[in-house]
Amino acid sequence: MSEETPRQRIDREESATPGVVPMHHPIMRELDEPTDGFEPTPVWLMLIYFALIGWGGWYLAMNSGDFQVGVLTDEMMRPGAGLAARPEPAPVDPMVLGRRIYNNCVTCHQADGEGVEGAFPPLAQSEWMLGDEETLVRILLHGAQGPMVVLGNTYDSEMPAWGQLKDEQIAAVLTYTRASFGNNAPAVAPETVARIREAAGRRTQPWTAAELRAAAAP
Amino acid sequence: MAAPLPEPAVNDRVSRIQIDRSCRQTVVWYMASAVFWLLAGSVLALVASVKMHAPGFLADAEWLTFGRVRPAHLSTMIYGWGSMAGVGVLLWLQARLSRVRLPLRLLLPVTVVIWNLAVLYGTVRILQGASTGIEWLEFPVEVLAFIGFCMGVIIVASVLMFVRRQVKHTYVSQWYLFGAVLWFPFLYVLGVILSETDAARGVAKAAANWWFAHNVLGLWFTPIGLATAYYMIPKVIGRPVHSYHLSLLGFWTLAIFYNWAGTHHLIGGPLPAWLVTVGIVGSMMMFIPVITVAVNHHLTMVGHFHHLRTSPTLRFVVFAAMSYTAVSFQGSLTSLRAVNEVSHFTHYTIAHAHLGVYAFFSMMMFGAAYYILPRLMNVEWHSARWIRVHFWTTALGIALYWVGLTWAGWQQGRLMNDPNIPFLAIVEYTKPWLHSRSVAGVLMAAGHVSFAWLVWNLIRQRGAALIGPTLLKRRKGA
Repeated sequence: MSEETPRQRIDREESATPGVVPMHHPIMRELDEPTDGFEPTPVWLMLIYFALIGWGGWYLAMNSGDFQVGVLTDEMMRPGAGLAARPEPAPVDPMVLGRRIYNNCVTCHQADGEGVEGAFPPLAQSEWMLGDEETLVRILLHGAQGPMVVLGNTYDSEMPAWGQLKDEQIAAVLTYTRASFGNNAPAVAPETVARIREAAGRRTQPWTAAELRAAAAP
Repeated sequence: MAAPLPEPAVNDRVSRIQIDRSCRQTVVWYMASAVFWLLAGSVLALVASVKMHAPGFLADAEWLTFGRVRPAHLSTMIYGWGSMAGVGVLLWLQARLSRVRLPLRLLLPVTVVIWNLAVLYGTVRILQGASTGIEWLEFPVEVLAFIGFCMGVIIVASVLMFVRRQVKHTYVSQWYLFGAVLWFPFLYVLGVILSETDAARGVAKAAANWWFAHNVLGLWFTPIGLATAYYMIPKVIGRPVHSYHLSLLGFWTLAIFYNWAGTHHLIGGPLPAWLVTVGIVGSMMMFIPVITVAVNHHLTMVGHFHHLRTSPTLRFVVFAAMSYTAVSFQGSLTSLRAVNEVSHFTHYTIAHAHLGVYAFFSMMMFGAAYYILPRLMNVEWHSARWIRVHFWTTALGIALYWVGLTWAGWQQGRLMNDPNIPFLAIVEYTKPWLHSRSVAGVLMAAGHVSFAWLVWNLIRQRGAALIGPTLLKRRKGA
């Protein structure tokens, strides 16, 4: 007879009925397999657990720093403190912001600030751009119309009003254009925009060149 | 003429013999390997412990420097002793409770060999200095593939047994066994991937590391330990578990709350405060399953404590179950910020960890081994005296260990929180307790040697042939 394989050995062992003596071993040496009892859960235990869960909710609410990822310390865990402690957004570089807002202007004034000859005035080296900053703010806030002379050429087109932009945005686009295309004029502060906007009151009419010169006169 | 036994009871006993016979090879191999790693881990533990108060000890041997011996001790104990003993007990309990023979009987013994080689390779690599440096995952990452494969086979075996089960009612131990066998592989694979690759970075890696390390205790060792207690206590004293309702409550609250607790290890660290707070709340909610299980076990035991004098299994298991209550209470309270400010980064934490892994889990595995192995080997334990030696050395050893280090750690934490006290003065202060730790370690190691001696003789079949169980004291009238 050939040698027994492991599989055959397992089959033989499994099918063998235990002898009479081994069959009595469990009876002599151990009790039946355990079973479940069904006593009720004590009420006092449940009350303790409810109290514990209540504490858990309170502790979580009081010590989570409003679930803000930046709240690391124990001092700022109280509700509200986490939101208050959220860091201020970093100030945006006006040149970056201005460049983005200038995207609204490129249709007429062009990406290189050269404008379109006979239709839209250039910004590069323009005496208006390098001149009085308050005049520029007025043009942006309320627009301009009527003939204007720029670098010796007369343009008679319409500049739309951009008063819906925020002070910082207007200041940024002016700062950008006054420092780009070869221009080298100082930055414009948001406070200047705020002051001009305030002074103009409820004006809705676009400016003319004559009005601008009058407003800028000391 | 004696009345014949009712038919189902006879069949039940026949099948128990057949189940035990089917488990013999796999379970005995797992348990015996576990005992080997217990001895190896004890040696590493003693070396590490002596170095704490005698830094010059073996300091010239590169392989035995503290930074290598300590993680090697932890890894052999967790993956060698604890997990291998746990798998052996898990397979046997699942077979017994499903009333089916162990499946995959050609593949499962192979997993013992693979698992042993994986632990051996990992331990040698740690001692060579190739530890990953990540707590509880110091083994090199390739060990994952081998232990992962073994766990896969064990999952399949568990599911097969449950699917083929011959009883309609699912006993409480089986829930815990299923919890363990499904939670741990998930934890282990995800723990390795998050901690040892770039899947998580920065503090997220630390959070993942402690999520894993804490859950190894709570969702691997704890369910196996509790499954053992839920089986052994009613089995030995011969009465039902007090309340099925409490069993349900205890299991599901463990399943819900434990997973949240890990971040309490990072109190004071650069983690978002809410993540730590969630960990603290999860730890405190652990009072619910712990009290539930303690009440359930206690009310099962009431009136039967006299069995502790005779049954070695029950003595170890009840010691372990009481330690589970103690370590869990301690753990929940330690997670509170006010306590943690003192206890963190001190010997207190080491004492707490050993109360969990040793006084609870290891003692539970000793108790299980005293019950399971004679039934698999058809031989009784050859000496009640050695069992007594084992119990008292380990019980007193862990008690001394815990008391000494808890006290030392608490004082150490208080002193360290005072910036005016020089660090070296604090080290000097803790030295007597470091000595007491080494003494405790020697006691426990002596217990392990007597346990290994008993297991060795049992496997060599040098014991009384089955007449009755080896008891610590003779029953009256028996």
